[in-house]
Amino acid sequence: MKLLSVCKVPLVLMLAMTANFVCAQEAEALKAAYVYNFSKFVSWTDAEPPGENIIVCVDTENERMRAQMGSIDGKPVANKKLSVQMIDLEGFSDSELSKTCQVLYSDREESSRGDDFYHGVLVVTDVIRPHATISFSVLNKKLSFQVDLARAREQGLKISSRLLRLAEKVKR
Amino acid sequence: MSASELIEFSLEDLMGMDIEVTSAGKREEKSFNTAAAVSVISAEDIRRSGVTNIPDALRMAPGVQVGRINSNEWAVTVRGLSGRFARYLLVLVDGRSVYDPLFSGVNWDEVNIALVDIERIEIVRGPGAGLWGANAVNGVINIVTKAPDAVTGSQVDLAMGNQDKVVASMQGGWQVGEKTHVRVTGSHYDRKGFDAFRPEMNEDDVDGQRLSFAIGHRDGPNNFDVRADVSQLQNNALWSDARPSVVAATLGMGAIEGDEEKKGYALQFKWEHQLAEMGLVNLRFAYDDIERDSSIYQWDSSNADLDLEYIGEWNAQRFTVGINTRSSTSNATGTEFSNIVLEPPKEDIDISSFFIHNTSRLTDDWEVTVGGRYEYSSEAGDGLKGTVRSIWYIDERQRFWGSISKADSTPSRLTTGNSSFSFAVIPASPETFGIPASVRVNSGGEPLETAELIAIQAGYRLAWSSSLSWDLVLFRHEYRHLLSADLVENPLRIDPVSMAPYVDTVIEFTDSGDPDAEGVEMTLSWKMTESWYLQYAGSYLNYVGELNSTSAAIADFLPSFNTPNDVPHHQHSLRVMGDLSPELSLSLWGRYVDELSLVQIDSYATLDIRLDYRVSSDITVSAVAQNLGDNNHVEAVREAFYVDNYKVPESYYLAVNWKFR
Repeated sequence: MKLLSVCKVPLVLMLAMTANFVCAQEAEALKAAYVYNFSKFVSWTDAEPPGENIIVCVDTENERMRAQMGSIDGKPVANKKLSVQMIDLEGFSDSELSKTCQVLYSDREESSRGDDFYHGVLVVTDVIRPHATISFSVLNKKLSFQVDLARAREQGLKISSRLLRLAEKVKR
Repeated sequence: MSASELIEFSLEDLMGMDIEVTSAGKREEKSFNTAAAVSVISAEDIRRSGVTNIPDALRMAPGVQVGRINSNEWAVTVRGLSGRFARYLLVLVDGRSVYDPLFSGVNWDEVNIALVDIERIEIVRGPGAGLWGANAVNGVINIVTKAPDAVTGSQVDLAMGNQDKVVASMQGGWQVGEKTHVRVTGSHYDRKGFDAFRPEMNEDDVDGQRLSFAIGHRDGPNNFDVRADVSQLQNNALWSDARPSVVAATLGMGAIEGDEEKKGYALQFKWEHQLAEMGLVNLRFAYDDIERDSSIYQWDSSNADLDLEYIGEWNAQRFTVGINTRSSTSNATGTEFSNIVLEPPKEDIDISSFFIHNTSRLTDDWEVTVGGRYEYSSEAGDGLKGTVRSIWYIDERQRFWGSISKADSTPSRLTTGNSSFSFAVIPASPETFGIPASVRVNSGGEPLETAELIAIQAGYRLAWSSSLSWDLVLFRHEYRHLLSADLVENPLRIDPVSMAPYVDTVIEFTDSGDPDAEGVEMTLSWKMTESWYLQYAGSYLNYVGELNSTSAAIADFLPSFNTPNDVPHHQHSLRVMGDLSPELSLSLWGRYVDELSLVQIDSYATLDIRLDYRVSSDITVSAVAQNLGDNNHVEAVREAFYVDNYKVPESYYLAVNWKFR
C-alpha cells in the first residue's frame, strides 16, 4: 500500500496551519507497529510457544500505548495470531511471566528479577534496560531500535538477520 | 494513523516515517509550525489541573479571558469583548458549532461534556483564518472529544466536594468486530449555588446529566464517525425583574427565579475518504436541538449543518476547498415575568459559505498561505473574509510567523430582528435621587452593519532545548461596527399600580463601536527535571479608542455591555507539576487577573492545588483545593438581566479514578 499523501491532523489546526508536509506518526502507534513486526522476526529456540497465539503482554500506564497495542490484537503473524494483554508486571511471580507471555512491552522501571524471569520472552523497552532484548531509540526524527543479541541468546530467542540488518545497533 | 493501519507497511517503510516529537514543552510539532496563535490544552493538562468544567480549563491558555459569573454562567472570550453574551468567539465541539443565533453567543452550561471525553481543546486566537464563518472573529475554540478507538476498557470517576458536590462519569470503550469501536460515557454533576452579596440573591444548586455515544469504523480508505449526545440540566439563576410595576414598587431590587430546565440532543456524522494519491475528502453532517424552559422565557433552537471539504497536496502546495451550509431555527418567547418581545418569535437563519485555502512552500524555509471565504447569510447578506499568513523556518529551533486577516461577525436575531427586551434594572440610589430605572433595549429600527475586524499578528517561537520552549505573539485588532447602544429616551413615569416613580429608559442597538485592541501573549514551557514541569501563560491586552458619547453615557450607569474598554490588562497563569514519589503527584496552579475598572471588579490572585495518589495501577485517589487566596472574589457579572455580584468561593473535593481493563 502506498504512503497516503495527506495525513490526519486536527481540523482546527489543519485549516489554520501552513502545512507540515512530512506527516509525523504518533510515537505510540509506531512503537506498537514495530512490536508487531518484531514478533514476526523472532523464533523461540527452546520450545515453540504453544497454541495459536503469540501473546504480547503490555505493561504501561500510557493510555495511548494501551489503545494502540489494543488495536493490533488479533492480527495475524505468520501462522499465528497476536493476542495482546494488558498486565501489571509487578503482580507477576518469578516463574509466571515466561509461562504467560512470549513478548513483553514495558515502559517502566525494571524491578530486580532473576534472569529466569524473562526466559523465553522477547522484552521490548523504550530505553536500554538490563533485561531488554530490543529497545527503542529515536534517530533523526525516526524511530529506530537496538538489539541485545547476547541477551536474546540467554533468553532462548533467535532473531532473524533481516531484523538485525535494520537495527541501529546490535550488541553481540 | 493507528498501529492497526501502520502494520500494513513493511518495517523498512515504518523506519522511514517521522515520529511525532512531543518534547518537554508538550507542544505538538504541528503547533510549532503553524502561522497562527495556537494553544492546545491536552487531556493530561485538564486532568492535572483539577478543573471540573470546560471554561475553567480554558484559563490555561494565554489570551483567553474567563470570568465565572456564578455556578453555571461564564463570560468567556479571546482578546477582549467579553461578557455572558460575548458574541465574537466561535466555539466548536468536534467541528460542530455550539453558538446560538439568538444572541450569537455560547451558553457554557450547555457545553457540559464529561471531561474524561475530551482529547484536547484547540484554541486559535485571532480571526479564524477566513476558514470559519460567523463569530470566528476574535478566536476559535474547538473541543475535540476522544475518538472511539482511543478508549479501551472502562473507567469510573467520582468527585465529591463542598462546591462541586458531585461530579461523576462512567466511560467505556470497546472494539466490536474487526474495524469498529464504540465509546459510551455517562456523566452527572451537582454544584452548589454561589452566594451573592445580598443573601436573598444566593443561588440554588444546579445539576446536569449527559449521555454520549461515539462509534468509529475504519474500512481501508474510509473512516466513519458517528456521535450522539443527549443532555439535560437545570438551574435556578436569578434574573432582574424589570417589570415596571415591580421596579417601581421594590426600588429596583426585585428578582425572578429563573427555574431553567434545558434538554437537548446532538447528532453528528462524519465520513473521511482517502482518494489514493489525490488527497482527502471530508463530509460532515450535524443536527442539534435544545429546548429551554424557564419562568422568564421559552426558547427552543435547532441547527442543521452540512460540510464538504477536499484537501490535496501536490509538489509544494497544500490546497483545501470546502462548502458549508448551516440552517438554524430559533423560537423564543417571553413570559408574563419578562418583557422579551421578538417579532416574529420563530425564525430561520440560513448561512452558506464557500472557502479556498492554499499553502505554498516557496523555499525550504518559507511557507505562505492565502485563504478566503465567501459567506451568504439570509439575515445579513453576503460577506468576504480572508487571510494571508506566512511562516519562516529560521532554523531547527526557531520560527517566525506573521498574518493579516479580515473577519466579520454575523449579527444575531436580537440585534437585527424586530426585538425588544428588558435589559437591566438600575436600583434606586442616592445618585439616582432614590428613583429606580427599568432599561429596555430595542432593535429593528435600522439594520445594523456587520461588525468587522482586521487583525495583524506576528509570532516568534523558540525551542531552546528539548526542555525549554517559548512562544510569543504580538497583535493588533482594528474593529469597525462593533455592537453598541444609544440612549433613545429617558422619561420619568409613575407606575399606576404602586403609584411609585421609575425611569423608563429605552436604549437602542447601534453599530458604532470602533475601537482598536493591541496586546502581547506569551507561553513558556520548561521541563525542570525528569519529573517536574513548569508552564507559564500570560497576556497583556489594551483597547484604545472611545465609544461614542451616548454609549459612554450608557456605559456609565449600566453593567458592562460589551464595553470594549473594560478588559483586564494583565492576566497570568503559572503551573508547576511534578512527582513527589512514584505514587504521589502534585500540581500547583496560580492565576492573576487584572481588574475590570468600569464594572468595579477588583483584580484577584488565586491558587489551585491538586495531589494525586496512585493506590494501584487501576486506582488513583486525588485531593483538590481551588481558588485559594482571594476567597470570595468576583470575576464577572452578567451584562444584561444583572441582579447582583456573585462570589467565587474556595472549593475542595476528593476524587477517585478507577479503571477496569
